[in-house]
Amino acid sequence: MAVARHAPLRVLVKGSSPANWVSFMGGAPTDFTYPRVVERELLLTGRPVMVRNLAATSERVKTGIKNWERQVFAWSPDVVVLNYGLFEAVHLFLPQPLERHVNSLRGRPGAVRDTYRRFALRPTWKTLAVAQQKADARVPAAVFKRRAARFADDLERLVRRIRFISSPLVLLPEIPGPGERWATWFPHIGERITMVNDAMAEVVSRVDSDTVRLFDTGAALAPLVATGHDIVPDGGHYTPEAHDAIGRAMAREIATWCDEHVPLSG
Amino acid sequence: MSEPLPLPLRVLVKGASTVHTVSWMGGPRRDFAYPRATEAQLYAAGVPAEVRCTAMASQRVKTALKNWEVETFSWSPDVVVLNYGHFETVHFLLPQRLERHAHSMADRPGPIRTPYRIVLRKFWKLLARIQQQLDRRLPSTMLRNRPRRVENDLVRLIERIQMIGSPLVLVMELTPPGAPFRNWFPGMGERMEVMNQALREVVRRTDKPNVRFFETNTVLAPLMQGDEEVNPDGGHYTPEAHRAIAERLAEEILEFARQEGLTKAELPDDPAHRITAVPD
Repeated sequence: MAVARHAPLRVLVKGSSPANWVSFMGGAPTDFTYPRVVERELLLTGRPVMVRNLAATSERVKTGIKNWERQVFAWSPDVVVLNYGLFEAVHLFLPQPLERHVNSLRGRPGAVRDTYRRFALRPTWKTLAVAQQKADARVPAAVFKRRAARFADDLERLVRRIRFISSPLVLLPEIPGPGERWATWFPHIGERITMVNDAMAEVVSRVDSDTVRLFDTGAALAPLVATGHDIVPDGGHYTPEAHDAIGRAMAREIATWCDEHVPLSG
Repeated sequence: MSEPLPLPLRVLVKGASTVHTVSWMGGPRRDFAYPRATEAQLYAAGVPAEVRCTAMASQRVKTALKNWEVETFSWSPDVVVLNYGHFETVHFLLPQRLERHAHSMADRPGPIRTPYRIVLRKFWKLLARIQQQLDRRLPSTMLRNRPRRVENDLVRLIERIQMIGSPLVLVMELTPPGAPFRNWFPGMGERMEVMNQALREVVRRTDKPNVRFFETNTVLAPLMQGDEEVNPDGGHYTPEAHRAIAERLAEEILEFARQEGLTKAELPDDPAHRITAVPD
């Protein structure tokens, strides 16, 4: 007779590049992002788990509301990690579709295409980025308040929709401050990130449920930072070591919650 | 506390119908295409693995560049198998969109749609016969830009994939067409030779130890004795051929995973105990 097994726990990660990008890309196959570390750590506790990482580079929470039904509803995860907010805080005024077009990872090679990218698109983007950098240094960070408020409203809507599917644990990871490189390119990004983190705290307080929590990224990374490790050397994305620390801490939080709400014996 | 569980290997297989179609379709449940047979093979070796197959009939490498980010980036597979170039060698002139439309698997029935499809099929056959005649009379590899573009697109795709933790990338060699395809597409064999050279060139240009050419035809050689064909429908492998490919793929994947510290397991030596999930 076959041995009875437990159905795997389901963890879904949605968000932007902090969940799928490593500083720096192209490293060893063991350079895991934190969702895979979560999977590894939960498996090490003997708990079968399936972690889906559907984060997409430059995705904003407004897109998260559009695609959540397809990604979340039918699969009905036990835990949802919403890693949004970084992209919203990066640019002062440059639009997201232009950023995606310039830094597209889907472009085909070709004489005309390569020429367009090299001699038209990239110089234009650089000019715009320099203009934005200058404006960012002059404009007070308070002009970002409206965007932060909309971010909070959208995130709250998304969280409430997700909770509707049998109240999964929803984790909102805090965004760490920018690295040196991004702080130079985007002078007020630090303040904008603080506003995004405040907006997430506001969402948690508005929803007011034990299953919707801020994930304290800073606490998870503190031991690493104490050793002098630069957690975001490219300016905004975690090193493999930082991903590892976040993944371990998140796995502990998920395991503790699941021991109570999704027991192995259930 | 429960026993620790191993982290499953992640394998992504991208490509055209070569990957997921079996000669012939509609067989028993154990007629696995090679991605699923690879998964079974890895499990049989004690290595849990998730093998995702996102292949689509008639998919070209230019489409792979469009969809790779969604399929590959966040999931971050340990191994990516790229089985492209086949569709690009099939037709001499007919466009891919018309082929997809004529052979659509998403068509609905209806009083107008059904007669339209009957007419469409006749029109398609007429065009295919014209193409067949032209393919006999004109130099079959005259569209030299096509393999060159496949090569450039594939190099770009592999460069992008390498960003994500340097996975093992296997570029699959294409198998010469079987009798039905040789009849319908007389120059396909020659086009495929050129395409296989382009695929080898892709690996040479990429020049990384973890980007390798998978010698499909060497693996299938024992199944091609005498008049035996591994693709009796002309372009797709038999279940036995899929299984032979899967056995070799699993060996190569396991060797890489061991080397990179992703697993400590080994394949069982006894071939009789390999694919336990697919009994003979």
